[in-house]
Amino acid sequence: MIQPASIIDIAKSVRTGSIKSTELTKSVLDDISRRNSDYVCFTRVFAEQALAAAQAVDDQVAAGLDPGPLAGVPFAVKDLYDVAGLPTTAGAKMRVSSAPATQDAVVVKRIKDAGAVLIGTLNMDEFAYGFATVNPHFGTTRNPHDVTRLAGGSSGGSAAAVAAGLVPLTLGSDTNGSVRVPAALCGLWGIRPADGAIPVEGTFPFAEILDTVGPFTRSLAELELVYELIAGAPLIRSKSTPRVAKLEGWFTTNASSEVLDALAKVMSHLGVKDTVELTEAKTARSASYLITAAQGGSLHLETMRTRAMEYDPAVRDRLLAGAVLPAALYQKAMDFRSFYRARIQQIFQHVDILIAPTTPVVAPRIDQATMLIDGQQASARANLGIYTQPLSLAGIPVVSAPFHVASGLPIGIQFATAPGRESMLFQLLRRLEKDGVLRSQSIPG
Amino acid sequence: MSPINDDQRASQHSFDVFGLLNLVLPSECVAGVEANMELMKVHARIVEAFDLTKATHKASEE
Repeated sequence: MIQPASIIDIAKSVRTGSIKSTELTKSVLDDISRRNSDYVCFTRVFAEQALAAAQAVDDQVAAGLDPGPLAGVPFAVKDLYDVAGLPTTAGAKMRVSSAPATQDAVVVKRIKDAGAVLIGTLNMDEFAYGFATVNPHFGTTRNPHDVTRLAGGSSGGSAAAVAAGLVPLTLGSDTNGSVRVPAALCGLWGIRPADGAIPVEGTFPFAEILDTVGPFTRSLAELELVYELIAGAPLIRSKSTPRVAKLEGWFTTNASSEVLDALAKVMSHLGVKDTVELTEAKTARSASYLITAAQGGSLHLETMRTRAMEYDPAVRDRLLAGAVLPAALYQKAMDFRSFYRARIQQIFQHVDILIAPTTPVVAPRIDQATMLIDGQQASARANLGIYTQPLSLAGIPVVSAPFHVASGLPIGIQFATAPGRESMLFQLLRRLEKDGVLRSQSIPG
Repeated sequence: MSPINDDQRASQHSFDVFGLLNLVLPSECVAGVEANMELMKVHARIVEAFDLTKATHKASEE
């Protein structure tokens, strides 16, 4: 099953009995055992439990019952979602033997309740602190479009598993861009929901006021279906024509020519020339950086006092620096956040959808340490999120959509809207996907 | 005594902090933390340079 059918096709086939969930699950498990080592996506595979869940789906169909809109759909989750009976590692070796979760994360339960079959857990940066999915304990996840390149992070295993066709649906989390960055680099659809739109209960926290969870898929229809299921309510359909603008300034500075070209093609197709310059974006990125470091550092401080040497050294250094951030600076960043969110609300009085690149460049090579930022060489991994971090701080829903690249590496475009206008956002994206401007591309050969 | 500037404040803070960190961390770990603190200072300066009062006033006028 190199390129799986869509989630929608799978569920339809399983519900009508034309394919058996157990057969599909066996096929997926075989495929993972053969190909996972090429990409380093899965950290754990629950073969026995998956086959039992698939059998339950088949039994329901045989009994004339409907297993649900995701009947038999194989899915997997970033290794920070609670799965009942198993430790939640959050990508940390020190948590491999921690106490097992007593119940599934809310979102995992909702997907299982819709008939999907949980296959396993996926690789990530330790404690979600990174944009690379370079994990010293579980390995470096490789981009299926070019295995010498990063898949992005911190939900890199989730993105690579869908891009490689190992499973058609995965879940990640997005604090500063950890769904959008890997979705962009792996050529997928991914969403960071509005703050509070989708429950994060049962996921290992990072920076709690910024943490969100979201899915990865290969098509917009699949993303919408899963979004509505995990949000627990259907979107209220909008018939309004959205007012669209491109984010200028910060969001185009430092972008490569191929990324700017993709953005220009999207704007040209929409026939939109309006722009918005969010002059506070640079400060927003820095405030997001400080808040994340301070909250992450605070969360881990007690553990670091006694088990510091068990952390990924790169993560430990960031967390410790965050733990000692002066409180006055943290407060200043939080005060800015309040101002900035009000400022974003003001902007959304005049516009419905803002468009910007997801990352400044295509997937960097795994051995590429730096990239050009403001004319100087800077850490490639640290700067993959320069366009996602300011939108995270705003707490607004943002989809990273795959620009249709005929050949070459994937490019992601962010489409952001005000909370409550998600339906309008999906409506615009449907048009762009239908017109072939946005499309997930298959991996080479 | 003249007021301390941002760099001095951050340096003073980091001095105190490293006294604390050395209690729980082997010395070879301190350099990595220090490098991240330097990066954090860059972001702190950007946030501190933002005049929230002026920006709020301007936003309310708009």
